[in-house]
Amino acid sequence: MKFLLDLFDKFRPEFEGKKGRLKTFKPLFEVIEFAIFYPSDQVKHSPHVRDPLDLKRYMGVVLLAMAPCIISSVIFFGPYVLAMILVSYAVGGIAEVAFAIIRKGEVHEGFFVTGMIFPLILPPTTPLWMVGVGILFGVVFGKEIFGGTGRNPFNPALVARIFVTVAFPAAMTTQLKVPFSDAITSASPMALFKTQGVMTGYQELLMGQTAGSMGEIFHLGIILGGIFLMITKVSNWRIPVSYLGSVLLLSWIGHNVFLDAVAPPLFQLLAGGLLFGAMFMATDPVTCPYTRIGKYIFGILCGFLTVLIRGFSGYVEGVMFSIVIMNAFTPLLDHIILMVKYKQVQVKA
Amino acid sequence: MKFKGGYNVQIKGKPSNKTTRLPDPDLLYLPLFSKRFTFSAFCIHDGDKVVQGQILAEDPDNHSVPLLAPRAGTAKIDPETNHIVLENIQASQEAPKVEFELPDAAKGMGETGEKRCRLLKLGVWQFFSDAFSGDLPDPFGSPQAVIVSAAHLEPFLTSFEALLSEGTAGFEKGLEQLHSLSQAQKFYVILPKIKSNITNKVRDSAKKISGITLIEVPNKYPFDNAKLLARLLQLNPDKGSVWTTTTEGVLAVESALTSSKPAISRVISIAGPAVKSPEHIECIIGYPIDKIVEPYLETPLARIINGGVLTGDTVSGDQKGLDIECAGLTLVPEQAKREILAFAHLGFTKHAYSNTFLSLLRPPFKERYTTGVRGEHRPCICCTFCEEVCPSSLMPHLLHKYTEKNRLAEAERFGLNLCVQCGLCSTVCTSKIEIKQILLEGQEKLLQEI
Ligand code: SF4
Ligand code: SF4
Repeated sequence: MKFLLDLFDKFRPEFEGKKGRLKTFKPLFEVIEFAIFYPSDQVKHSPHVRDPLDLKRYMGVVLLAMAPCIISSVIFFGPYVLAMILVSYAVGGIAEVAFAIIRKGEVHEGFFVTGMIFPLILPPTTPLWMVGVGILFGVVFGKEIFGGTGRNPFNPALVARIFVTVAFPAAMTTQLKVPFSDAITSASPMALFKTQGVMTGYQELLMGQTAGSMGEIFHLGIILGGIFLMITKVSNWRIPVSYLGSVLLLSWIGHNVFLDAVAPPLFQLLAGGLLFGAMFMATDPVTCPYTRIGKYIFGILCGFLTVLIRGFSGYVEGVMFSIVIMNAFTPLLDHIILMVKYKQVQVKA
Repeated sequence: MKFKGGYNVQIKGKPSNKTTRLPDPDLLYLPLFSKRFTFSAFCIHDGDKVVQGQILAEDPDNHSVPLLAPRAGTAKIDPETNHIVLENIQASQEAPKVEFELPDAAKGMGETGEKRCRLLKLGVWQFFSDAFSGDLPDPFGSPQAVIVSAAHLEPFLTSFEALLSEGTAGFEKGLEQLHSLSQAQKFYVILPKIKSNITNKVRDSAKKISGITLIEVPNKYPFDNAKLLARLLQLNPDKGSVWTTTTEGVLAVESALTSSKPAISRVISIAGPAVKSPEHIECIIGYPIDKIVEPYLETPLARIINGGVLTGDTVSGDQKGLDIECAGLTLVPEQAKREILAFAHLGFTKHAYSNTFLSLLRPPFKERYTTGVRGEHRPCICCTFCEEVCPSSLMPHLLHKYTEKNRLAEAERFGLNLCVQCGLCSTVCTSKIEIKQILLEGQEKLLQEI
């Protein structure tokens, strides 16, 4: 490894300072260097020791939690899935680096999750160019124009997905596939229920033997990954619990009141993108409330909107819209909670 | 009382309760500064022969807290390095009884005033601070309460078990003396909930004295913090100062009042992941730090910290001898190597606040931390770990954003002044933000504004 380190040392001057010939590409050089060799910076102020967890590991854990979804997609739909992921990373990566260069900043790790989530919430037949256009839109309009990682109000992968849904509706809803089959269908479990009142079996739903977005269908894997993420503390349990809990409760009520318009609770839970959304997208710490009560409210309202859109709108699936709508309300939610909380403190102090 | 947050960093190098007495060195370097004090008013001349316990200099801004001569010898004032160097040191003698004039403030107080004056002149008062401000309280004032935090919970300050290993009689007597001379309405002894012989004895001592309230806190950092405790005990900063001290302070009170002994030597811990066999040492003030550290050092490249690993300050090259406020020396290896693919390590040897490393599956262990930042600085991602560990129930992620943007009014509203500087938020921050430092600077700016 010494030789590799020497190599970085040798080329670093080219990317640094005013004289470096390649100084424009410093962010790219740093991404590669710091991914392999951590900086050896020492802390300057007390506390003198720091936790080993950093953003790279944090995002790495999210990817690890999504491994069942990634692997199952490849098994279900073949190597084309890998090509989609590759395009997403390549196009999104170029956009990230370009923005880092313009801003003279760094490339942040958040992209590694966005770049993976986006292809996973697409149908397995999505043309590669569409993947590229989508991720480009997501990175630019979902994140970079707001100032990059940590400042984005919306989940960039969801922004990308909504963009392709609006721009290419047919490709997103009618070009689905069931695992291990080449037949094109539009019959996702949610669509089947909505149009024909047919309920797919729970075993098929759990094992992902249905049509849908490629990473969203293997629900057993999503559940395991989601629990793993909560155990590691990378995702906050309050959101999935309140989100899924409210979907279960509201759909139970809705199903009893409106019967066929609203699917029964367990079906709601296991069909469509709910689990994936609740476990991996609603929990994005940057775009969900940071206040504890806010997290519960966020989850509950996401659940409410999901049941509402699924049951009473022209769309068969409501997860992504609910999360994005609630993302938009997140700052307001936090603000109100803070105002209420700190009014009390002031009175006390 | 309801305790929230707190976190014990599992760091290697806890000192044993054994105390080694260091033989007197040839030269003593008495720093003219310490965390709170600057001894700028000299009471001797350069080259004077001084006796043990003699006042060498005082801090005029801090109720004339004295810097005492730990031994008899020749004192050389070295303004360049900001030390008084004591040469021709003589062996320890019975200190001559120091005669002092009672200040005006003490005169109307009778015996209590005389005792308090004795504490001040014998160098014991420096063990006290005001819970709210952290400053030295007025020795002749009337505190609304006294808080004795018996145990340090920060790694690795002097342990009270080491201080009391020879019995708790002195502690008990000191408590009584302090209780009577403070004349405070409320007197609290704070003890972590642990079961050990010494804790039981301290508990019994505190219970025996009427007027003392024993409060047991979780054995978690930083629930020994006086500012935090004062708030949890609902003491009001507007109603006067709250004296706080530690076991060391109580023992020093007893020595000073019972046998007129000046506080010229200290028991301190020498501990941390860079120490060979961490323990306690007894040595005099001014002891050359390099001489103390050398036999204990395991790694050549280590940071010497004056105090604990979370709140102590790095000993600068300018400081040559042990200062009067040191409560332990912590040695941490400096980060030198660059870790390869650190984010992908299984992490059996890494101890994280989150459960993101496989060390989770190991039985409890202590990590050999270094001074590495361990990652790149990033914008806050609102993981809220800092909020979870904050003992003051603050939202450090919010506060640091407002403070950095200089929106101090908002930061104050959200509790900036309630931060007790425990450092836990910076320790656990995923994005490696110097939250504590930012908040400290914010608090200082707020103070200036007033
Ligand atoms: S905000 Fe202050 S009290 Fe809270 S964890 Fe940080 S340093 Fe400690
Ligand atoms: S620990 Fe750091 S990254 Fe996490 S919320 Fe606090 S400030 Fe933000």
